Amino acid sequence: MDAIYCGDTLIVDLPSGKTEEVGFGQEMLEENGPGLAAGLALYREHEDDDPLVIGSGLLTGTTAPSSSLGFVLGKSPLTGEPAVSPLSLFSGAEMKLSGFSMMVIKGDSPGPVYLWLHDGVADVLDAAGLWGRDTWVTTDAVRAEMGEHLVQVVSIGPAGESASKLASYSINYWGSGDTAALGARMGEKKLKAIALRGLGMLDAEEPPGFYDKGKELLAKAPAWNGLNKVGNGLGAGDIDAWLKPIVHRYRSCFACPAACNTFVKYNESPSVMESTGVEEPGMLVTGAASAAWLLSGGWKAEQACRAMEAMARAGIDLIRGARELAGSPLDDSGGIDNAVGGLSGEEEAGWPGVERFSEGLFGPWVPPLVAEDEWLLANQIGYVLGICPIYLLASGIETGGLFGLCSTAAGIELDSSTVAGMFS
Amino acid sequence: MRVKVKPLECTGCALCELACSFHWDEAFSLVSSSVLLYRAEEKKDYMGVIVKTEEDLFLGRPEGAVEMKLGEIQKQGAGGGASAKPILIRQACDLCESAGVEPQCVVICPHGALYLE
Amino acid sequence: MGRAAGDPVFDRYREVFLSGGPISYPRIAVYTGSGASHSWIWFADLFERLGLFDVRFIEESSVRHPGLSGFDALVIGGGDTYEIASSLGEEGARAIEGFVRDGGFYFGSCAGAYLVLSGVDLEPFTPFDLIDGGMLNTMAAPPEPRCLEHKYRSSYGDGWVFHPVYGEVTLAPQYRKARQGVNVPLFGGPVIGEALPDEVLAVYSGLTDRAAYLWPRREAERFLVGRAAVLRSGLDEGTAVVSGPHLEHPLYPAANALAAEILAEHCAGRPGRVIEPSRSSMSNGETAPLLQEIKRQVSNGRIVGFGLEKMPVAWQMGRKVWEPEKIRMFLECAWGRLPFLWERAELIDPSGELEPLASGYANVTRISKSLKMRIESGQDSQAEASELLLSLKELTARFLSLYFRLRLETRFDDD
Repeated sequence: MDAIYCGDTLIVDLPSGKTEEVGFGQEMLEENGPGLAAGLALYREHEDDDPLVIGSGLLTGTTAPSSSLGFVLGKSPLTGEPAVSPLSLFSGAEMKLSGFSMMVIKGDSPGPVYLWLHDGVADVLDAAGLWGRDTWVTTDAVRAEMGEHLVQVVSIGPAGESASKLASYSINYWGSGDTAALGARMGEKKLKAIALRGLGMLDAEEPPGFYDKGKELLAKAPAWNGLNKVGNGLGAGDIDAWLKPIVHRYRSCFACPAACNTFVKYNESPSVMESTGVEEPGMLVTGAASAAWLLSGGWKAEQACRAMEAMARAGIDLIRGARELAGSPLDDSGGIDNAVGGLSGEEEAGWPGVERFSEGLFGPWVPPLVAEDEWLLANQIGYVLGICPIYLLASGIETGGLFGLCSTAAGIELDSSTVAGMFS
Repeated sequence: MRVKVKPLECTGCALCELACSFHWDEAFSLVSSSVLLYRAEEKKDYMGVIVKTEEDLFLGRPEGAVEMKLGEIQKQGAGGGASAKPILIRQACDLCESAGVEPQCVVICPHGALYLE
Repeated sequence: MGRAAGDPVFDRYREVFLSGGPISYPRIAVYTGSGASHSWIWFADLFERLGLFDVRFIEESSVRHPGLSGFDALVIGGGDTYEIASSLGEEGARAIEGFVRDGGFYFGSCAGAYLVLSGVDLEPFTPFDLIDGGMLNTMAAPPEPRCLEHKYRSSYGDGWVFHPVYGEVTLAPQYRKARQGVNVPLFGGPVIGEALPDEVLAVYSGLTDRAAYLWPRREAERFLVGRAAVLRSGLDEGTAVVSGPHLEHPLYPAANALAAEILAEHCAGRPGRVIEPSRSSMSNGETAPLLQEIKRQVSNGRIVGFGLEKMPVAWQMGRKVWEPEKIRMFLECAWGRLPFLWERAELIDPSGELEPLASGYANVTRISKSLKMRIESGQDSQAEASELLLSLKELTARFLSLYFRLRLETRFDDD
């Protein structure tokens, strides 16, 4: 099918290093549902090969509000059950544009590899030279190899390579919200990274109708800067005020009106706007939970961000890592690196002062801002449509309009109950 | 009248690129628009928005917006980032006049980072 | 581009050329040799839209020897006119003139127009003299441009050839019944003077907002409007046509239709060639992997090319300025046509036709990455860029030769 998805399902057999493509069509969508629902069908089909399934939602990559979301689905080493983690920032959209609608990664590679997906071409490349490197070095190296700084790199650091239960994949240089330790699964598979880039186009079935509806929704979609809107409902403290002295700018994920990602600078003044010789001036705080833990644990903002940077580099789950560090604020960089290196992974992910839901498939990357059943539905809708569930909950945006977009996008009629039914 | 940029209002969502690409091609892409989000220096968080017209580029650089004639950039030689971008192959902004609508990048931006003047 | 390619204006010409009726089906040579830039790709797009698939891509050596007798039409597009003239030389000029006099069709666009105008009479242009006309856009000391300084002028004798406008202009066709103005891009082509009135096919009739004004707009308008843009001259049995603007540009279907009409008029009543297609199956186990490798490397090259477009650099080759965007233009030309190669894979010789493409595009990706690293580290990139752009030109010509052969052999398959 041409509308809204870009290509076939890619099957990667890591033991042999071979790839094959299987059709991904309207029938697949109508039988199983789009986005994560289709991903779950693929997971079940290939379950015996211990797969990681990677994909995007129906509306990912379009002008639907906050249509940034892709997903990684696999068996979590923490629970032994299937769990899903997000692909956000620009990685979800780039997955959609890479030329493959979905990807199933089966088995374990005999040696370290990384996947390079580009415009319908899938390459399994040697990653021996990257093994042992942190995610920042890995991302830089892959982008240099491909000759393009806009390649999206989903990678693991030393934590993932050792299949630590603290492991989390990073998206480029930043924390991903992988609270299911799927980064450890990547490490077990010797899959160092997934690099994504596509120069293609996405068509809707009714292009003008889709565009106009999307524009209408965006006009009504709340926009904001900062993490408070996400954290405030949980009594997480005034994260934005805490970070303010080191805030450089606020950044959105793809097509998202909310700029909750917060770039902080501590290796040069945050007021420096031009591109200087300081190559690594700071980091992007991508999640409120990790910030909330460190704030509530008495950390100073700069040191907290340095700790989050160290965890992102190592490919450690920032939420669980921050929770473990929370009670022991540190001042010096050396101490921070040691502390991050010594994390035990004993803590569960979650939010300070808030009881965690029994999430099953979905993790606490999405804050429990509402009752559990509403939270679950927001995750389901988000991952099926490719809309950030955090934005769905924090903005209060009407999902009816998003379902209307699905009809003009791909001729698929959806509502909350049909989406929920895809997961039963 | 042209589309200009308030660079520090921009949050890098790329909705402007999508709207513009839809205007030209009736499809969504990040390769064919007259307005370009410069985001190639992610670690430095250096990000700008560039609008191409027939004769010049409006460079919405975070350190200050500037208009630069096409060709002037080559004269100046090497320089980094959004301040040095000849996007000569893309179609020039026509303020969406060919579609008979107001400039869509301005309409769609959630943070008012693009405006007409 | 997709919308332009699907414009219904092409249907009529496709039918006319493919019907085997009174309009003969020409064998066309597209010049891609020394001095040709990238705009010859647009001729490939044009001929494809018109259903004309008997197309070869030739360099200067082929013009000189074995010559053009095997062709019905020769097109020369944009580029560095000096370089084109020097590399063709007197022998090439004689070959072209002889070809036209014997019944051939010459179409020169932009540089290809300057090349054969009688009024362009300094060395190395003196042997080329197909059409009476001079260029009016020359001055001893043109005024300073408002913009696009690097595209404004080039030396000519003691003076300069200059360009007051760069972009879309409007033409008024002068023959047959009156028709609407035709928009078309002018990218440095001639403004023609001293033409014989009955040889003028179109004049510049107006300007649009889709152009850069190197002169103030009013002055550019005064200079341009009413002046000749397209000329046609009969030479013995043949026809020579020159056009200042690019009638072949892929985003301008109405201009393409004008070019098609001129070509069809030449081909009317002329004897056609017998085309002997060979549809032998040549694929083997290497075909699919080689096609995949070509796709892989063209994709890799496009991605690096896209990244290069953000680099603050341009390269001077001869008198021509090349921007990084041209890299992706060549690669897009192949990318869009790869699916057709897959469909007709059985007709392709893997070792003779696919292997050189696969290794060529891999080399292009390698050079592109190296070029990017040099630019990012502040090193000079001129040599690398020259190597890359030359490789891309040759590779694209090779790719299109294969593509058009397949299109020719299968042109009636959907009937």
